[in-house]
Amino acid sequence: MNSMTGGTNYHRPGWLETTIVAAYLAALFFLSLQYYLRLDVEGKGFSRHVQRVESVVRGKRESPHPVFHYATYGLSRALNIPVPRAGAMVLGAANAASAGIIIWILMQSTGIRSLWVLIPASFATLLSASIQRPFFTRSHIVIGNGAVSVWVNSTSILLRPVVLLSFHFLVQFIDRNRLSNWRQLGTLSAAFALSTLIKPNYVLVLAPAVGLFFLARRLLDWKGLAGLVALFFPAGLILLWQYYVTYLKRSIRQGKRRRTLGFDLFRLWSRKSRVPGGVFTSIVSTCALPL
Amino acid sequence: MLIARFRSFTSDSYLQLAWLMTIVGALERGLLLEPDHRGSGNWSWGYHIALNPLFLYSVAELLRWSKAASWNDRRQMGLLIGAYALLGLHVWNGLLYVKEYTFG
Repeated sequence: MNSMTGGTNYHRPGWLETTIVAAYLAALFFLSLQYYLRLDVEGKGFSRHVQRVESVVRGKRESPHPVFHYATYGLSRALNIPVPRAGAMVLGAANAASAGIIIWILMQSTGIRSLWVLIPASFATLLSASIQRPFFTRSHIVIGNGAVSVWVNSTSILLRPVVLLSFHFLVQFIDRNRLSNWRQLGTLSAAFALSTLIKPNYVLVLAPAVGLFFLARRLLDWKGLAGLVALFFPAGLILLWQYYVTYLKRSIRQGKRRRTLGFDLFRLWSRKSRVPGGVFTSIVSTCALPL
Repeated sequence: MLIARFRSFTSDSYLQLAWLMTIVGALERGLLLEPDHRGSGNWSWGYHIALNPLFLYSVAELLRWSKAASWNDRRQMGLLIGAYALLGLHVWNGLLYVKEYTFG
């Protein structure tokens, strides 16, 4: 069942392994489906996005990151099913895709082939959240602390497979010094542009981090700088359009200048974390394993 | 992982970039806000997103460490058990979070 070809690390899975992984991904898809349909009934975060689908697609409401809305609407029309069910299916597929990608990356980076290790590890990686219980009560995991997966947020869930794949290939790309390989650079650049249309926050943290990474590795010569600009140029254009749609357009319509960015000095985070020690405890409890 | 496996961290580009992203995300979350939606916490999403690669490559490092660990080294076994206990706590809290959002 386990075959290695030509001295590379390639592993061709047997029928039993393929069936087990397929069953795991299908189970995640159906569990997610039930979860999101239940959230829709209870009127929580997911249903707010679903309610916006029709108005975004029909142009009554402008969304600066419309991929979830269009994907949901397209699936709803293609399968002739209600919009909430289509939205739940989109997110179920995103969760299953994320789990599959995690298994693949763990196989690549650890050399472990046993599914009895990889499947629980992928499940743990999908679910991990800030450690609150048994130490703290009344603390909010999403606003004020942190979770790998903010399950109620549709755009974060849809973004996750793109984040996992593009991050993995980006590090390979930098490590193997492929900055002059325009095909790979173009593919990554397109992935970052797509991610910005799903949710802009990934590129907003990734671009400065990659800049610092290049600086630390002394890669910021003219070639490195050109590669960095090419990687994030399409995403940067989309960010500018999103800024126009979200802030400038409204300011122009209202005829007054509005402040679009404020400074906070950790006050909001500290207040919302609701744990003794505030931001420090919030970070330690959220990143306990990585630390 | 960062403290117990610092030597591996120095040669692991995935973990290095994941940590940089998390630090940038934490700074954006802590320092920036939208004046019109002060309580929305919209600048916190980058931090949440950065946790995805951070946890994935930390779990990968944990698995590599488990594979290479010697059962005779008690200190190493203690650290490994501690790391798995932390992962267990993260997952337990993740399950509680899903349960609370689903069932109230």
